[in-house]
Amino acid sequence: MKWPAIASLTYKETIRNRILINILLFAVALIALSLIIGDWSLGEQAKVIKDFGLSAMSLFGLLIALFIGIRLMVQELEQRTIYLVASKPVRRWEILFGKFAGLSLTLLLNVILMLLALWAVDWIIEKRIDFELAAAVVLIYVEILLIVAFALFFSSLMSPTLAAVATLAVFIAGHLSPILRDYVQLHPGSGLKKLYLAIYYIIPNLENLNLKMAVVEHLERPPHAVGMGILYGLLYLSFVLTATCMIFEKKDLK
Amino acid sequence: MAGLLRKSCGAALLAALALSIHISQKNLDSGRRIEFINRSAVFLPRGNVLRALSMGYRGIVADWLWIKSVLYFGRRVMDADNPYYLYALYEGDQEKIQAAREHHEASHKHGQAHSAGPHGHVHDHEHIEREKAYLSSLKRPEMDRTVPVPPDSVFLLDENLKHSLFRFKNRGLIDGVYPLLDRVTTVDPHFVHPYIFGGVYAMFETGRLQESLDLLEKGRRHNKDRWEFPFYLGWLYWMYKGEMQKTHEYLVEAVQKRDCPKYVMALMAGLTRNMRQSDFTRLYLEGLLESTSDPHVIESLQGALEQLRAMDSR
Repeated sequence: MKWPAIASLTYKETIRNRILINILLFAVALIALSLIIGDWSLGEQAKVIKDFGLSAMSLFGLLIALFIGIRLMVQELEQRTIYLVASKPVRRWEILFGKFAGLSLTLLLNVILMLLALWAVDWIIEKRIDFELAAAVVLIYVEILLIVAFALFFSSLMSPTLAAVATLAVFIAGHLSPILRDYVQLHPGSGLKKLYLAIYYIIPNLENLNLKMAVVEHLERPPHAVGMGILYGLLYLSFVLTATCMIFEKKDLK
Repeated sequence: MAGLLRKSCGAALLAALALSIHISQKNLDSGRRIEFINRSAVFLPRGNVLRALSMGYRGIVADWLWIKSVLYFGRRVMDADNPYYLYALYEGDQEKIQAAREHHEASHKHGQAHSAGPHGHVHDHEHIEREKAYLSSLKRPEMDRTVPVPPDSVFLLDENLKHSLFRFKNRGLIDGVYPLLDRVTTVDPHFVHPYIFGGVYAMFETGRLQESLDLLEKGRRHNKDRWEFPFYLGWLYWMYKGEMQKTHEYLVEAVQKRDCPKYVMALMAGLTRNMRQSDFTRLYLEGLLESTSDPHVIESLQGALEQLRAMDSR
C-alpha cells in the first residue's frame, strides 16, 4: 500500500498552495464580513451570518475543487514528475487515490477552519454555538469531495479548461436535478417522463447534500437525511473515482 | 486472462456502485414530499440594502425579485392551475388530480365557470369538502378585521356578490408577497406592474387592505404621471373602505393624467351625479376588467359583474 505516502506528500504540497491560502483567507474574511451584512437584516442577523457562512464554505469549496482538483494530475503530467512515481512499484490507481486522499485531507482542514470562523462569528452574535451547523458542514464536505472526484475524472479525459467547465456544469446540474423529479411527479402524463427520470438518476443529486437552509431555519428534515446523504455522496464518489482509476490505468503517459 | 478478469471486476464494481447509488437515491426520495405550502420563511435583506448591493444592475435585481414574487405567489396560491396545490389536496393521487384538472378545463370550455362558483374552480362536492378540510388543517389566521364591509354598502344586500369580492380565498397563505413586492419597488420604484399586482390582484386573494394601500400609495408617490395608481386607490377606498369622498378625490386626480382611459372619466362623472351604488360598482368593475389581462382576475371580476347583474334584475 503506497497510497498513504502519496496522500501525505499531496497534503504537504497542497497545504502550501498559494491559491488555497488566498481562497481560505477570503472565505474567512467573508464570514467575518457577514457580521456587517447581518446587521442590515431587520433582526435576522444570526440567520444571515449562518446562511452567508455556509454558502461561503460551499462556494469556496467548489473553487478549491476547480482550481486545485483539476491541476492535481495535470500538473504531474505537464511537469513530468509522474514518471518518477510511475517508475516505482506503485499501481496507477494508488497514485490517483493517494492524490485524492491528500487533497481531501487539506480540504478537511479548510472546512474545519471555516466552521470554526463561523462558530466564532455566531458566538459574537448569539452568545452560543449552534452545533447543528456541523451537520450541514459535513454534507458540504462530502459535496466538495464529490466535486473533486468529478474534477479528477474530467481532467483525465479532457483539457484543464474543458474539465473546469464540465465540473462546474455537474455542480449546477446537480443542484437543479430535483426539478426533473418534481416535474415528473406533478405531470405524470408527460411524454418525456422516462427520459427525465433517467437524467435525474444519472446526474448526482447534490440537493441530497444540501442541508444549509434546513439547519439554519431549524426546518423539519427527512429521517436519516444526514446519514443517507453521506452514504449517497460516498457511493457516488466511489463510482466516479473507480471510473477515473480505470481510465487512468489505460491512459498513455508518454 | 488476468487483464480480462481485472476488467470484469472493475465493471462489476461500477455496476454494483451504480445500483447502490440508485437504491440510496430512491430511499432519500421516499422521505421527501412535495408540499403545497413551503413553510420556510421568505427572507431577503431590506429593499434599500438590495438597492445598494445591486450597484449598476438595479433593473436585473428588480426583475429577479419580481420573478421571485410571482413564483412565491404562484407556488402558494390555491388554484386549480397550481399543480402543487392539487398535489397536496389529493395527496399525490394522480387519477384524482387529473380528474380535477379535466373538470376545471371542461367548466372553462363550456362557460360554466361562474355558475359553478364565484371563482370558476372545480366545485364538485368532493373537491369542496377536500378544500374545506385542507384549509382547516392549514390553521390560517382569522379574517383581517382591517377590511370592514361598509355598513351602507351595496354588498350587504347580496350574499353572492359579497362572496365574490370579499372572499379572500388565499387569506393567510400568501402574505409574504407584500414584503417581496416592497423590495422590488424599492430597488426599482418605476416598475409599475408589481404595485398593481400587489395592490389589486393580490388584495383579491389576501384581503390585506393596508398593505395594498401602502403599496399603491408608494407607486403613486414615485410615478406621478401614471393614472393607474389613483384609479386603483379609488377602487380600494370605494369597495373596501366605503369612503366615497376619497374615491372621488382619486378619480379627479386620475383623469388629469396622460393616457387616462375614458371609463375613468365616466366613473368620475357617475360619482358626481350621484349614480346608484350598484351602477357605480359595475362601471368600476368594467374598468378594472379592461385594465387587466390576468385570466384569474378576469374570472373573478366577471363573476362579480354577473352577480351584480343578477341582483339588479331581481
